[in-house]
Amino acid sequence: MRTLLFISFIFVSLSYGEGIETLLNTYERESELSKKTKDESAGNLIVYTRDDLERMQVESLKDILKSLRLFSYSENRLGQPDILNQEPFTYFSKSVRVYLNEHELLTAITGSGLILFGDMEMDFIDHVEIYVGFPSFDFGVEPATTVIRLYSKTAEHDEGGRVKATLGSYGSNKQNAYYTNKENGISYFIYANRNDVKKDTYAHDGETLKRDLKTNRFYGSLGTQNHKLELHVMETKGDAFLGSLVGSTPENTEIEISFLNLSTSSKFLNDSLKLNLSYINTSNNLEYRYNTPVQVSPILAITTFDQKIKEQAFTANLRKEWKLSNHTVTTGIEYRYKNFDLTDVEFNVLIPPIEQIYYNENIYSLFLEDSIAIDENHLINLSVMQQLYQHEKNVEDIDITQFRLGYTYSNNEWVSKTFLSRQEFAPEPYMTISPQYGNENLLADTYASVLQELSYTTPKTISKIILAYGKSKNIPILVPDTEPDITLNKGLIVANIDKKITIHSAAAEFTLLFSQKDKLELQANYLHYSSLSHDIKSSITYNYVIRMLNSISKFDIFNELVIYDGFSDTGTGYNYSTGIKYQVSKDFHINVKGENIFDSGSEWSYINKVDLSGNITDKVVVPTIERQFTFGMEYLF
Amino acid sequence: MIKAIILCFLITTVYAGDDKTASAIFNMITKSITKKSHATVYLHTQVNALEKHPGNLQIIKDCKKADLLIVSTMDKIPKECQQKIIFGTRYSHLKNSNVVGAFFWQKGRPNILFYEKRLKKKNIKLAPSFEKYIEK
Repeated sequence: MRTLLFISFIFVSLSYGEGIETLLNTYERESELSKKTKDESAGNLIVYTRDDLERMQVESLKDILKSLRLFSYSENRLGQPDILNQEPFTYFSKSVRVYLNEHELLTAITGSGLILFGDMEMDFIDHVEIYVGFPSFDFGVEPATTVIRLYSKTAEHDEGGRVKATLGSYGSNKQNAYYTNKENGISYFIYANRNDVKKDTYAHDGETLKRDLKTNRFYGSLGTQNHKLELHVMETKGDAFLGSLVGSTPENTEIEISFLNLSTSSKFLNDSLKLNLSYINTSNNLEYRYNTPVQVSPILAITTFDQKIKEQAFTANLRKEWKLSNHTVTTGIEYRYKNFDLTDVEFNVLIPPIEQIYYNENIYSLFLEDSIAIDENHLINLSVMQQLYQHEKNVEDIDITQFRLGYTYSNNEWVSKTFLSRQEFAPEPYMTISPQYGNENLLADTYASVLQELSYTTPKTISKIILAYGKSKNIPILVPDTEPDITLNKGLIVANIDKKITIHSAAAEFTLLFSQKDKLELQANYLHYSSLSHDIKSSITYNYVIRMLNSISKFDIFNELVIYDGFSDTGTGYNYSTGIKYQVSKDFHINVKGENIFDSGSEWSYINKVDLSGNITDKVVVPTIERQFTFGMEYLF
Repeated sequence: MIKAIILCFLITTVYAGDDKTASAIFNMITKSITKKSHATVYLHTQVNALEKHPGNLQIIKDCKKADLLIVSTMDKIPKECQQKIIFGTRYSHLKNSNVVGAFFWQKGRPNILFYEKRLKKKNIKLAPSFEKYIEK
């Protein structure tokens, strides 16, 4: 007991012997919200703390997705984020799920929110956690390959407000403000943003292709210690780049999206019981105009296309955790209702009304997870999750099961994580009900994977190696349709390929912490994608990241080089970005940032025209991330 | 047994890192205000870090006997203690002229702020290391 008292005394004496400024810095570091929210055993984790986001001058989520392990940031034909993009699908990243605090941001048709939020401005976000490689089922109703968790700023850490304005290349500009406070146990956060993103234009076939977008956003939350109400509204309007149709270069494309999310989260019984409710309403208006008619089926050529898509989703999620000896058992019952309507389509020619095979989907989900702490160094996670996708009319229900086994070893320096998983992904509505290529008989695509992560930490360095192997089958691809509905179908349909695809990947990372505020990060990533099918190309890709963050006096300096090599659609390129932030005073900061400064980043090639035999005859190639310079200022009050 | 207790203590220390550091900061501030190594402090109503880790402070339940009041809310401070030295934990507490200073989160960072006039009124002279946190 005397030893204990002695250690306590030394600890307390040392702590109180430090200067007040050093203690404040230590306190700031220790209190990072990511330390409270992140779950190391939930998967292969990448954390961007508030300090990282601020010093890297992260303006939008794509600023961090562009250097994500194994992926290269890409966008779909409408200029929307789609990091697993498979041309000419409108969206392929259904398994990449985005959460804001406790709630998933999604669109009912695509099943994932990355399409709307993958390039969201980050000015109201405190920190980001990205779980790669089939993470824990604890996160949500449906399975995922990658989970992006965004956490908003809180009244507890941000009492007061901030106004911010930026001006960038081509006249891009952004203005936003937030204010937050806590009074009598009730905290609130209010944020409003106006963002006008302007990009370069691209001449093709005598037309001008554009990707400009204006976005207005409101986010507000009201909470007590155990309950929180959130409202998130977004209105976005601009160009839809190439549009979703293949066959002719559009003269003009427009997209307008309204998104509303109302959600509540509640904690009971010392946080062991959690209830989350969320309602989402989205509407999309698309307009395409063509000088040269686009052939949408063997019998139909059109010059105008107007579509209104309406979507709703309601999610209820109840989770209970029990601590029994060295077991932490968590179970969750979850329900999601989706409603969608794609039938409101108008062309410049009359066609029979479009029929949609189903309008509603009910998803019932149940998961059980047991975390067994064998001792203070060894942790085992066992998880099982079951989903039932129930459809109306004569469309068959889909029943899928997920398994996951995790083992984590940790001591003061070494951490080893091993994850084995088998997951199934039900086809999302846009692949089954699309009048252009939908197939109601699609099967769930399945993935089996093993992932090993090993990291070694010293006071000045963090070294990490990640190895992964996976097999997948029933991947949906576009194939010739033997019985096409000739009104809108060009002769292609989505179908599962029965051959297996294997994936090998490896990543090595090294972080050198020069001092409290300076660090160098190095990453090398390798991905081998081998296909036994002629329909999917095999590929080997590499990407490398060198990132340096420095603070000198009142300057925060950021340098980042991302090198892409071997990506089949994006090719080879490098993206060098740099930025400087200067603290004019404690409350007034200015910053300047250059993105893809040498205009040498990756490019994406989009299919524009296909001949009658299905051969690609024309492509549109544009930079994924354009060269852009931004000047900004922010005032805190 | 001693080994097990030490282990428990170390694990608790790691998990409660930010509370312990917050407590160390409150201890330094209190010592600088009261000039006492073991000052008596009344907590109104909930200051988690000090409840868990009082350090050298003596937490008491009678505010009249306290050298310092550390408050998490300005509501319902006992009338008889409203003229005592009060230290806040939110920026908004500084709106009350009886509060000499506060240790609070703002703009994502922890801050300490004292008002010189209020310190003088209470005849408080802080240690030189706190000079940069005094607004004149």
